[in-house]
Amino acid sequence: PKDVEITDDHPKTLLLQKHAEYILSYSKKKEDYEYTMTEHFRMSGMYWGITAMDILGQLDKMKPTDIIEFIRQCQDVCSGGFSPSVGHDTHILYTLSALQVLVLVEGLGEVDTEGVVRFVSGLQNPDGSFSGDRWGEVDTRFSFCALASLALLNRLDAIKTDKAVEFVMKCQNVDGGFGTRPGSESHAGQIYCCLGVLSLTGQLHRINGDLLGWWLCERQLPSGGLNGRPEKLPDVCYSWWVLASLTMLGRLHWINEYKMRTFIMATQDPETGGFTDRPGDMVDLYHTLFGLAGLSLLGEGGLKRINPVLCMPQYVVDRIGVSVQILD
Amino acid sequence: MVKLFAACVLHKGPDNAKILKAAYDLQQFGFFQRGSVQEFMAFTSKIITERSNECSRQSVKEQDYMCHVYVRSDNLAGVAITDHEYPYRVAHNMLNQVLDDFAAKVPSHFWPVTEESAIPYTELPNTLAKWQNPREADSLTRVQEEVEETKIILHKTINAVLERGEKLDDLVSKSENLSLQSKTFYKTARKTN
Amino acid sequence: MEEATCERIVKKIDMVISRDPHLDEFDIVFALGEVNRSPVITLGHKLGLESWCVKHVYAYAYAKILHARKTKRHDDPAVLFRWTQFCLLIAPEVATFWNMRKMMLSQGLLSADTDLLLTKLILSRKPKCMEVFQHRKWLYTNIIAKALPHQANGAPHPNQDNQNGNFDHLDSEFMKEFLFSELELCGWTSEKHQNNYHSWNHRLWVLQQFAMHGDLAVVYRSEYETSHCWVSRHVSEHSGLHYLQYLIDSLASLVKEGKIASLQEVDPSIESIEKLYLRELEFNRDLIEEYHDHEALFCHRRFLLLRLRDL
Ligand SMILES: CC(C)=CCC/C(C)=C/CC/C(C)=C/CC/C(C)=C/COP(=O)(O)OP(=O)(O)O
Repeated sequence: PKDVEITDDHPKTLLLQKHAEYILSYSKKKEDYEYTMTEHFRMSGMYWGITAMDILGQLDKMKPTDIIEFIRQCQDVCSGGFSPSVGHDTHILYTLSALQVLVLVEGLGEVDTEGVVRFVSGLQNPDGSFSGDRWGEVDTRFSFCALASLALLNRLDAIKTDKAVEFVMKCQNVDGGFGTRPGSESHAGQIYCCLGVLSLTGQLHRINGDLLGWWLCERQLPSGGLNGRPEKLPDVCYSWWVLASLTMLGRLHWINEYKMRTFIMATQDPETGGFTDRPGDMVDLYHTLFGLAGLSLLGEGGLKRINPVLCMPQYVVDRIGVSVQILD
Repeated sequence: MVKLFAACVLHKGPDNAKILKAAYDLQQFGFFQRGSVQEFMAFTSKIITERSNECSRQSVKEQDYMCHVYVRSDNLAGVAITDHEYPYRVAHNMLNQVLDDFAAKVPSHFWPVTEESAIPYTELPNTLAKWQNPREADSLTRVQEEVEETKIILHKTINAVLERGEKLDDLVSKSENLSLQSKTFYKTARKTN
Repeated sequence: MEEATCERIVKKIDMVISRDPHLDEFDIVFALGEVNRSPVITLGHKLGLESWCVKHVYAYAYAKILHARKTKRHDDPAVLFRWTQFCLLIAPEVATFWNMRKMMLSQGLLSADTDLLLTKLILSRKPKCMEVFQHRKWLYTNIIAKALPHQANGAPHPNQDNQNGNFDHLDSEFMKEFLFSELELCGWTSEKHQNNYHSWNHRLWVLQQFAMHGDLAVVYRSEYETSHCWVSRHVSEHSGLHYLQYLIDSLASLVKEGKIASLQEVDPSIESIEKLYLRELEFNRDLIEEYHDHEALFCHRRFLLLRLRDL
């Protein structure tokens, strides 16, 4: 099979301090081209960075006032949704990221939460699916974003959750997995989103855990890394999408945890700090969060526990009193 | 994809390998990238021939590609570059056939001294086209002597074929045969996907 | 780099694109800057932009667009077309810029053809870019398919011969032609990038659109054939196999629902649903024997066995 080689040159232990430095330095360099090129998903970038800092136990290094001010500027008064950055359009993806960060830094009171509820519920379609924004694209990722956003606001009552679940179930395939829309190919990222919806609505019992758990385990390659669908290279982000899904299904122990850990460790860059998709590539915030989050699910020492559905530190989820369903 | 990108015939001299003839099928690559891709395929073919012993067969993985190399006892060598789906055994069968045919048509005293353009051998493009369909091409040659799968040595990375301490990345940046454009292309190609 | 130089490059790109409707490739070409030479290269129907200028011109056009949005001054739409076009060629993931074009399309300030060409050009460089497929989908649903019923009173119809007043029929023919070309586009993008999830997903969506335009046997016959060809040359690509699974399953339901009279319309040798799956199993076995060790082929086999079990 297609896979990568892990050698003795790759890191074997968690370079905790390096990662914190990487994230901090990232948020400081604002002038260069790379920063412009990532502006269209800045809000999510912020969520990845801040969540990573929190599970590293270093949230105190971030400045909540600046963060909250940025998020406030990104809320659109009219629609109630959030944009990824000032000057861009609102989208449900960035609305969830904004809420996640706000909950983390305890800044929810600073934005118009009623506006958010209006925005999210306005995106539900008659078949229960959700559009990402007013232009109408439908994707099960957006169903998850909608449900998670409202769960964080404790306002799941604002949408038709039974319809939402019905739509998600229509996206299930014979292999037990889920795709973006009815008929679409199964993909680990989409599976996470669909299980997330079912968990937040207490409907996980609709899933055949053995069947789907098996498909998810088959994502593990000889190197220990996971891919998101058959015959693709491993990518550290799937240590989140797959491990979190297995956790929801109560079957995390079905994968080889030792090899998984070895793979994740090997995706760290010992010079710059941060994680890459595969050993030897370039680091970014996205892979850094999901590498750390995967390790946290595996119980790595020195990291705070993470919630497998909301991808936020467990203590934060507890603080707002949200509970999620996990199969045993 | 079941795809054959390149077929090369080389001569392995005492200190370096020289391409005698090469053919490429690079339609699938962007128009502006084909030049660099071709340079790389030629570069890689030489490198692995230089690092393979006489009378050996190897199949080496390099990112999305497989490089199959066969060096005969008379130092005539063949390299086929395919994707991962192309059956290894078939690639080596092709190399057998290509080298036999080449040796029959181009006398061996030409090998060490003649420039690629002066070699009177025009079959390669046809061969490359014919072997795009491994099933058909292979059944035509089944009657001939077949390569046994067990004789092929597999390597998971090209670094495994290189000498100790050598790295492909370093060879690339040191090479004088690669243009600056191709070197940059190589660096950026590693990061996408 | 000076603003005037940046603007000149943006304009030059726009000129090349608007002059050649057959342009089929765009790429950034590595080059160190040279004075007094334009970084815009055209060779046949290929358009290249030299790498040294990309950062500067992108930063320029990006800032211009954001400024225009902030001040809400959009006096000259032509300028916004150019800037968004340039930025999207370089970074097609920026949804906001596609949205601006959607707005202009809705207001009739931009023609659907312009964006069909632009999206295609972008796919030649980034064949798996999800936002590009999304934009084409939106174009089809909101502009192309919507425009047709009104063709009678104004806009030129691609098929001017509407003497007999049979618009529905003509529209449907035009739509089918359009959808077939969209299938071809998907073939091209899935060849350009292996395991191209979004390309196959788009293809599946296109197939679903045919339901509105009748004569399903024709499209299913050609898709059935194309798919088998494709799969036998891409044995490790699960996305192609998944599409084939979808195709077979829909064929079975179309026959059950009476929307296709018989499977023999698609392939004369298939007389029953069971035969449909059994044929597939044989095809799968041949591939597994020929190409060892491909997980995708075994996933497909599992699918077939489950279907056969439940028949
Ligand atoms: C709060 C959190 C953690 C998430 C928010 C919800 C979202 C946006 C989840 C994204 C899930 C995801 C990764 C979906 C996959 C989308 C998809 C079909 C990708 C295919 O793209 P490729 O680039 O081909 O990726 P692979 O090659 O790895 O399959």
